Amino acid sequence: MTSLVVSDVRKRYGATRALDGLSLAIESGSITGIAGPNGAGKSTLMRMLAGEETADSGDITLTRDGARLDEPWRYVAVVHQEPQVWPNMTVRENLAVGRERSWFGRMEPAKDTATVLASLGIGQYADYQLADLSLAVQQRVEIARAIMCDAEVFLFDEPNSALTENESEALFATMTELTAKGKVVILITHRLNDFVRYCRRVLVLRDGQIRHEITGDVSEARIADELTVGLSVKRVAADAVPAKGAQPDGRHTVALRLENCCDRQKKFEKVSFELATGKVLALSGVEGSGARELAQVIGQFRPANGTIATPNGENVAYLAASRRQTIFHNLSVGENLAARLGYRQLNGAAGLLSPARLSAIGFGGLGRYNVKAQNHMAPITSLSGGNQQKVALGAAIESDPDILVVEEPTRGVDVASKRDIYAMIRSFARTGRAVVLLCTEVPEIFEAADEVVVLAKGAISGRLEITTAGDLPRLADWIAEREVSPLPSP
Amino acid sequence: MQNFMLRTFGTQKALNNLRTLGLALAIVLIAALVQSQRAAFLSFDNVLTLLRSMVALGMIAFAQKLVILLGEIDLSVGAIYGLAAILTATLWLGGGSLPFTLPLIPALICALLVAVLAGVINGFFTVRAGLPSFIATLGMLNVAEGLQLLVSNASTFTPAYNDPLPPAWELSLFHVLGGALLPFGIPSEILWLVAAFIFFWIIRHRTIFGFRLVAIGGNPDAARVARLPVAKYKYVVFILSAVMAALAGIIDFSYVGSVGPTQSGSLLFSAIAAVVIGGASLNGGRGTIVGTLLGVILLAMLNNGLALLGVGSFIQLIFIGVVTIAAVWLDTISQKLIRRAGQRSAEATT
Repeated sequence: MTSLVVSDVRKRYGATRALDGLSLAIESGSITGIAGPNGAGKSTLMRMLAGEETADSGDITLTRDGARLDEPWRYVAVVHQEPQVWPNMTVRENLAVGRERSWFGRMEPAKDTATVLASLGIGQYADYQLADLSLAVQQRVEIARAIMCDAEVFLFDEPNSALTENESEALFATMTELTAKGKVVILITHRLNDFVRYCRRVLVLRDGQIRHEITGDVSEARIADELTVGLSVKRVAADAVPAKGAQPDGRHTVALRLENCCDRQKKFEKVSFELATGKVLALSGVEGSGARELAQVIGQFRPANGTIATPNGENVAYLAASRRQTIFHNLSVGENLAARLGYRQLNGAAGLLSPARLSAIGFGGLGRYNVKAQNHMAPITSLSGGNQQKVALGAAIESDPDILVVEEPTRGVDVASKRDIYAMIRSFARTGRAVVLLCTEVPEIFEAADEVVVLAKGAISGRLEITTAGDLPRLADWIAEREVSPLPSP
Repeated sequence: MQNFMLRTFGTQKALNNLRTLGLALAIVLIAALVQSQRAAFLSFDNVLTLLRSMVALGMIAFAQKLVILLGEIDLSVGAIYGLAAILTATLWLGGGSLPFTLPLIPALICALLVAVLAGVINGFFTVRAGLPSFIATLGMLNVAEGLQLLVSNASTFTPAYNDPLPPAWELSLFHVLGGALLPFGIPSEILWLVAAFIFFWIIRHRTIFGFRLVAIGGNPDAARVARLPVAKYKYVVFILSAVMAALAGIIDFSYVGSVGPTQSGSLLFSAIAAVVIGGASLNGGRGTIVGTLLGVILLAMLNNGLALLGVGSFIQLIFIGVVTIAAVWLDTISQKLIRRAGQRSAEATT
């Protein structure tokens, strides 16, 4: 019997209160979920439990069988979204790092290595280098490390966001085994469905505090209600965004046609479909289904075999998911907006870079894309995540593409900016361009897209007009069904 | 079949074996080529010359290998090689700008302590101040070169003809360090190369220290999460690198019998080239000491062989540059192919 108690922990970063008197008590025996919107303080809490961060005030205590353990972080193991392991070493060596048994001689991991690996179902990989293994196996290696360190608390941070359905089921089986051994197991995830399936208790974290606790009957709706207090998921109001579905003249033409398109690394095979102008198309599918790769191929960011035809030589702009790849941190807001432009747009009469044109683009962009910044000369890093994303999207739109491909358009963005971004995308599509979104959340598909294409196991498993789905739950069911098992496309 | 694939491609060890084999093959090929043109190439005397030319390069490259394993680099080794020799000479013989002299042994200890200090400073600016090691050690390179000139007054030192002449026992002790002849006319200097190779091989492959260096170089973030002593290990490696450079400088001084300022020549770049040819990645976490040794042999052999063939030293430089790039390019290509094969065999296991 182990219990973890956090009492009145506070942590400030400058003016923001990441944790504002957070208290919680978690006991071993079942998986406990922690839910919360972005910026609620989940990652701060996690770093603090793992000892990577110290609290300004408050206490964290860990007791095992009634005895209090010193330095609780020593007993906390975090299983990261991206496993923290050593790609240049073998599985066996990975388990040995930090817990070698002698100073000299060959480095051998502890005797129970084989048992632990076998119990996690990765015994056959013991001598493989980690770089050769899938993310799921790497994650298991991290779990194995944690088990061998005698951890009492296992923190799983979005552990299955990049796993296939089977892999994540196996992972949850492992997590359940850990609880049976009397460990404290905490799950942090954005997938409400996982809470429903595996947790009997979910704590909802908002504004640096535990605001609500759901025990017993955990349902997706109850968590969603708590997460979006004061906000309701609905399609962007009709008056905010021009009517969707049609170009001004009501016609759609083909902007891009894929025929028997195959990914070179076989992430998807023989995909054929057409992309219409004036519409927002959402691609959906679990990680490994090929949806992300397909978006990158359409965005001309990834090579592929097969026919990829643009009937009128449409040009494409692609926006990656991570802002690390879309924002130039050393530039100002205005310069970021102009970053994709060429000499035609930026050069003055003398054939040299024209500061006036540059600042006109920045100044105009702030208004056009509803960016909240002091002015266009402000450094991009002074903006919130949502506004940075608007700038990144704006820069892609400034380059005047016929096809705009956006991976995870609202990753790490607050709800208000999400609305703005959906509106930007929709109004851009309405000017007769084609937009492709890679979406990881159903509400986003529901709010922003006209059509959804679902991929499973490297093939298209369904395509649907959003309006025919009716409401969000039905759309979610329809998509979930097709994400799991590939059905022949209609 | 799976097991065969695993053994051949799947493990780090097999990968290293393959690379080592390729490098060894290249060395044999070059040796055969030169030998077919110049019969003197593999004669006992020339092999001794070859080995001798590897001593300083090897000692420095082995230590540099550990620095690079961490994902850092030490550009100050050439300058510290020279500084240690100059310090030994001026402290022991006088004649520089220092106001005092010391007997040989304290002078040697002083020179080595200065190297330790240089290593600590390199470590401090890399670990504590957070500078890139490229910059920190580039600064140290200039400081050490300047100190050489300052301390020596830019003059040359020859113990055997010094005025006043040091005691005879000191002269012979100093001579034993690198210049004395062992049976078969083998200079004692070569023992240092052998010792350094064994020492660094054990450090790299048979101690926790070496094991953790691989981990730290492979994923510094994970190493921090696992609470490995990253900072301490970096200090140790920078100190080791500086001390090996200093030892190499003193030993070369002993063998040659005289020393002047800024004599390290292209030692620094040859050492880095040897490490990289030997299969290390400058990003850290990869490479073996045997690989580095083969890199050293390859470079030494090219220098020696091309000289024997009568190719001018200008062409030699060009040739060595081309070989370095070609070797690393080949390694990158084979690395990619092997990685792909490894992935395939890992997928096949499921």
